[in-house]
Amino acid sequence: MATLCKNCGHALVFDPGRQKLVCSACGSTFFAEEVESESKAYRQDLDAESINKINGTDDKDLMDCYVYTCSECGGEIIVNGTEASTTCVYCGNPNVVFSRIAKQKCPEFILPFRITKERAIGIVKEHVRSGFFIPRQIKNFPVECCRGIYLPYWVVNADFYDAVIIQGQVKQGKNYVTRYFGSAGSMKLKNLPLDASRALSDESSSRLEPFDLRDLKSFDEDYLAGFYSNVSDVTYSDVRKAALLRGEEYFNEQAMGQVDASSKKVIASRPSLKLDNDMVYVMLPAWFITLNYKGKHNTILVNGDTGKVVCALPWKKVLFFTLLILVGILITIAAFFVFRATLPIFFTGRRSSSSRKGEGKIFGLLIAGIIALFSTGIGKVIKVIKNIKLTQDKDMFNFMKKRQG
Amino acid sequence: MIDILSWILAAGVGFGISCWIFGNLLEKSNNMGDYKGDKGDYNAYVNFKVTRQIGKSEQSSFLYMHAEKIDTANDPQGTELVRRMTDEEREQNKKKVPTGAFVSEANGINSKKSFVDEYEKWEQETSNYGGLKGIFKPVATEDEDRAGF
Repeated sequence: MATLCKNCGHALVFDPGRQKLVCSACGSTFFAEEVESESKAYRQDLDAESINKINGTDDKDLMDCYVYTCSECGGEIIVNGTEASTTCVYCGNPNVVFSRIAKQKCPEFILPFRITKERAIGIVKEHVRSGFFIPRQIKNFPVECCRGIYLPYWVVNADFYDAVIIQGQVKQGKNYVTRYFGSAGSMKLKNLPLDASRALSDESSSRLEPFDLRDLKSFDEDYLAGFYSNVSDVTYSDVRKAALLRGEEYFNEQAMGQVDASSKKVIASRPSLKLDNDMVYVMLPAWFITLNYKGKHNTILVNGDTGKVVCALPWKKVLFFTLLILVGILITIAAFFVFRATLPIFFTGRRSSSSRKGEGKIFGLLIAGIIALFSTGIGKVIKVIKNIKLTQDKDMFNFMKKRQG
Repeated sequence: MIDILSWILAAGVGFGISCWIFGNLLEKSNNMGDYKGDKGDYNAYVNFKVTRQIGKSEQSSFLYMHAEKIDTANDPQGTELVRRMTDEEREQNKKKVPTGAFVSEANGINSKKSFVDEYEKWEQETSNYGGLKGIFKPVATEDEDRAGF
């Protein structure tokens, strides 16, 4: 199951820094394409495996994991239904489950890790250190677990069509009135990567984008050495739904840009999508780093190609609300003197009806401004809380943690 | 009266500004990488057919008139797993359907696109990004797998 060094017979591991397979025993290095292991020949000659042969049993319902033997130490390697590569819990050597990547299950392309484990942790620490509201325990976090996982993706092309109704406020004379706009059109989505793993939420995986697909290499299992990986387990309906949702996001954004109104929102739509059949199965790299804070596991994702960090971390609530109230009080006191000096102008003396209307307008704008400030600020806080929940998502933690090694 | 109104408005402005400032600061400090690929990354530029103001009662008719009806009768079943085609299947489709297609067990080959020279065009179009080209079909049934198809 492992690719072995031709000089000393030790297992090789892919080093993202050097973009080569490295032997930790004798220091030899090889390009993935150069290595011609027996396993490769075995995989190329392999016919589709029977389910009985893989499972060792007929009763599929009783099995949710598979047992293999480590080619280095003979220890048991346990993988779940979609894992394609893992690490031996006894000797730490990388192992690839070739039957999982044989024939139709084999990806066409792979984007090898470019960010090393140390670099990924370094990037996260750099980001975390600069966070003003991030607790000190997190800033000096000990890494609970850091795993490099190749995620399966389908890169799709699709024709997307949509007709939408947009509601917006339009100025008519001196007032704003509600108006409706219809917009219809089409677009062609090209090389859109869609997460092909059901265990990982689309919301998390889509935020790892963008990946530079120009650096894709023809799939070679040696790139998996030293990393974990999963194979595709999504249905046609999953892929279609994900593409449709992404298409809608891009369409709505541009359709609203076409309409000259304020407070715009799409109130109805009729989208449709035709997926091209030239879907490409690829594996894309991501680092999963977990840290424990107050008994909760936070999983930070790092794009293994670009180093983009994806997470929302817990915040210092006491500091946040203390500062918010203090600054609020200071601005309130300053604003009070301004209002006390200016308001009497509006309430004293005889004024014409037109000047009264102008004053009403000023008050209206002032109140609208206050509401906008509150809603924007609260909206940002809600967004952060929502993303913290995603970072602390148990499914994502289990996706990363429930692997041996 | 003036004092009370001044306090109310000042509190609104004061805490409103404070809320806005700290909401933004919190987002910058604790929320990282909260964006997806841009439309430019996937060439997702809309070609608008129509954009116009409509009446409230026109909404359904507008959607009905302008929504594209796509025939998905030949598409795979939603419950079928997606996988790559074998070399043989790919070769078969290359000959019969130049643009590549889904092989339906029931209907054989989807022959929506049947221009003879389109395969070469398709290959050229998909030659960017490291020569991305592929083809897929739902995973074979369990029985087929066992039989070694």
